[in-house]
Amino acid sequence: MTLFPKKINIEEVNLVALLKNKDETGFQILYQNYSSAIYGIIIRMLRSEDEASDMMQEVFIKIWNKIDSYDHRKGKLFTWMSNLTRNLVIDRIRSADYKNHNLKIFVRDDNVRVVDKEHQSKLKIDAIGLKGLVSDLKPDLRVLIQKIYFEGFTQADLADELGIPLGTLKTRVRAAIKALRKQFD
Amino acid sequence: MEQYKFEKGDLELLAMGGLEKEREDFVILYLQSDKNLQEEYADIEEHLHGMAIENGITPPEKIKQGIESHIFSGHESSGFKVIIGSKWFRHAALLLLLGSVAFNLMLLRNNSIKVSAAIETSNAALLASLPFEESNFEDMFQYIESELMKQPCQMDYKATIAFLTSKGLNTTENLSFLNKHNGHCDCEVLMNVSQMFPLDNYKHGSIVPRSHRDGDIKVSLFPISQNASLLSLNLRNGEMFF
Repeated sequence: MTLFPKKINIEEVNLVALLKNKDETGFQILYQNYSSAIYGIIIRMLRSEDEASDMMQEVFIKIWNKIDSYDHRKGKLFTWMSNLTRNLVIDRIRSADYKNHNLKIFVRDDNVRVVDKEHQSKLKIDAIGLKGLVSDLKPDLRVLIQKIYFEGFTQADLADELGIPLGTLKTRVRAAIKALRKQFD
Repeated sequence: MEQYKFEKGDLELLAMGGLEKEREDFVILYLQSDKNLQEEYADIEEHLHGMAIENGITPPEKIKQGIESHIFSGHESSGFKVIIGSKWFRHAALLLLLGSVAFNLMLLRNNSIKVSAAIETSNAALLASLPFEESNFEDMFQYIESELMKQPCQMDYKATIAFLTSKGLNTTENLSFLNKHNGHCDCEVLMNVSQMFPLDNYKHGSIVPRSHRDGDIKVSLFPISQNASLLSLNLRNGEMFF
């Protein structure tokens, strides 16, 4: 199994150049390479296919329109895209439509069923667990990645949620990422 | 102001989007000053991206179609806006506007010249067609006016014929000319025929040339006797009412 299935090979700098030129090919490559990963983040945060569909469109339109603000010196394109996605979803959750909700609603046990990519549309999305190498991490490390990366918690929010000092949280997050990198390597 | 200090775990949190904005800005600045940290950060990003792909979910096809229809229809529109907003377009539009104004001024000037020439031609034709001297016409109008101040128009050529006879001019031929130019009686000769002349001294203010036969006409004449005030003469289809 390859790490990046179905990915169209293109240097990131070239893809960004295409996108900044508003080239349709750039959009096709962007969508092919990143849509599943972005949708995975969105649907884990929103828990609703309808909401996730709307948000997915909003995210890609925003990426398309705001690509000029992407600065490669601050990180990779996907990091910028995923952070933009989380911020947009959090804005949605905090919007009037979601005023009766808050991020804590979305904290739940990640030990739930795995969604089959091919049949995900048939599944009810009550909770979507993590798959792949991250799912092999110890639960106390895995939950950190899930809550921060897939649910949009900030370090302060999560430290408060877990009742641990900020320093401890950072140490654990670092350990979690180290373990993840070890898994991939 | 809070003093930040780079700590272990900051890179991971930055890559995961878990830092607050101010701390994120600080870590990015710190990162840009250290090559080793940049390499470590790139590695973290790479692995998180790999994890995101492993946990990716294929979105329904309709989403892509929705995005494409939005951004590419919007793209054409924005392309149009870009063209309109470009300085070349504005310059071209300004040139077109100035050209159009200049062309219209030229047309206006040409038309004005043509109109003036046509008026001159028309006046010359009129003067050439007069059956007797232009100065005699002026005298005739003054004579008729003085006669009509004594007695209102009787729907005939009494004053006109008297003038033509006194000047030894051909009555039949000249009355035919006057009749042809809407002078069907003394007062019409005064009001209508005099309007043909281009010279201001033949004009009669706002008097509208009309024929008695065209319908109702109300002609105001000056007092015809020492006791009389304004006399209103109503004419309808050739009949006269007081």
